[in-house]
Amino acid sequence: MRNLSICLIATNLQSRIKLSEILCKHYSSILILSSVEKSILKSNNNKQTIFIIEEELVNNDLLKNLNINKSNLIIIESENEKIRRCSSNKDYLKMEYTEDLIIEIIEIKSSEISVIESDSTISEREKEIIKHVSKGLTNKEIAEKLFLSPHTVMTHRKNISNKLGIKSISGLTVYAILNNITSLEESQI
Amino acid sequence: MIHLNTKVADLIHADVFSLSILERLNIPLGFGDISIAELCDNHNLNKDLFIDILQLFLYGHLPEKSIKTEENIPELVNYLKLTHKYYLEIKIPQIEKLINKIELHETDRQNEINILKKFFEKYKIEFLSHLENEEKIVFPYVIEIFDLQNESELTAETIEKISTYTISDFEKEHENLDEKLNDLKNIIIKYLKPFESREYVHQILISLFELEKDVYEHAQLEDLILVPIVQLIEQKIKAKINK
Repeated sequence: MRNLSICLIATNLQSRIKLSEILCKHYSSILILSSVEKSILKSNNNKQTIFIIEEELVNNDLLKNLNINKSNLIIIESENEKIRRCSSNKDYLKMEYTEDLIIEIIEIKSSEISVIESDSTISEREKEIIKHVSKGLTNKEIAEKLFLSPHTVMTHRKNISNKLGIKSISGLTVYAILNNITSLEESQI
Repeated sequence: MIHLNTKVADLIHADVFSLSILERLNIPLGFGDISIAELCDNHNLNKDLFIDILQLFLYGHLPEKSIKTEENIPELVNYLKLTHKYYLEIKIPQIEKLINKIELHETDRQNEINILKKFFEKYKIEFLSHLENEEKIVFPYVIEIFDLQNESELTAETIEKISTYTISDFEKEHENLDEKLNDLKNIIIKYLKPFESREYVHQILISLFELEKDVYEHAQLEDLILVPIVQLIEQKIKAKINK
């Protein structure tokens, strides 16, 4: 269970059911709403929360009044033909996406929020990646092991380097050993 | 700005790390009130090149009126070789000695010191290999090209040799040697739990900062002066061949 705070706001019952099933499997702190509950949202500290909201519900007032940063937002794409978007945009998800892809999108968001908020704590996912990097695995190999795309792995590595100020593999390995993420024997140093 | 009239003493006052430049050129202290021009005369240094090197070291860029002539090539190569010697015989051993001192002093942190030692050993191997590549391939090539530019006749053998390697190949291989140093700095500053022998750790950090800066300036000298001049000579020679 990952320690990540997620808020899902969807009026469509099926979307709510599917997404909440997926989210509850992977994350420990979930808030699920069928409409915009201003009172609830206003009372929470929203800085480290990822918001997954139906496209129709999102407008500037919502974001402004509830102090939701655009960078914390993943939009559930509308069924409406007029506003179909390119599927590779990481700020959007479609209900047809697989569970893996949905989780991947959330993981990237989570990494980016930490960087933007200058939170230099390394997340559990990032620790996993550091561990595999120090074992000498390539991005492709790490992607396969963790069921992510190589692109996601590269994004995580970039975020990790920015947070820690460490770019090289040996440097990350030293960091990993010092922080008990891996041991000298397991690493490639 | 540095001028030929600037006193050497003032140069040191402006940036004490410029001492390392004098060190590798084997120029001792105690030079009184002489100017940079006089220093160059006394030690047989090319004035334009020396000003370029100092300017780059102190301000991070070449002077506006930097004179890049082909004649300076042999002396520049010599300076780069002396810089390698300085790294190998002084800077790297300096850091190694400090790591050893910490190792002797901190008896119950052997694991962590071991890891740092391994990291630095690995870095040293990479570093030495890079220097060796420059000494064995790049510099001899540069000198050869320099000598060839005045030859009226070029042998078939020479022509073939030139066509297989150019200085641009070196430029592409130019690795990021200062990246690992920067990583080590951050590890020591942020993530290493404090050692009792703080003084040694501080000294290592200072040496790392110095080496990183020097390595960066070294690469700049190669990229901003050496490579462009050699490319010009290569073009001249190619034009000659095509005639």
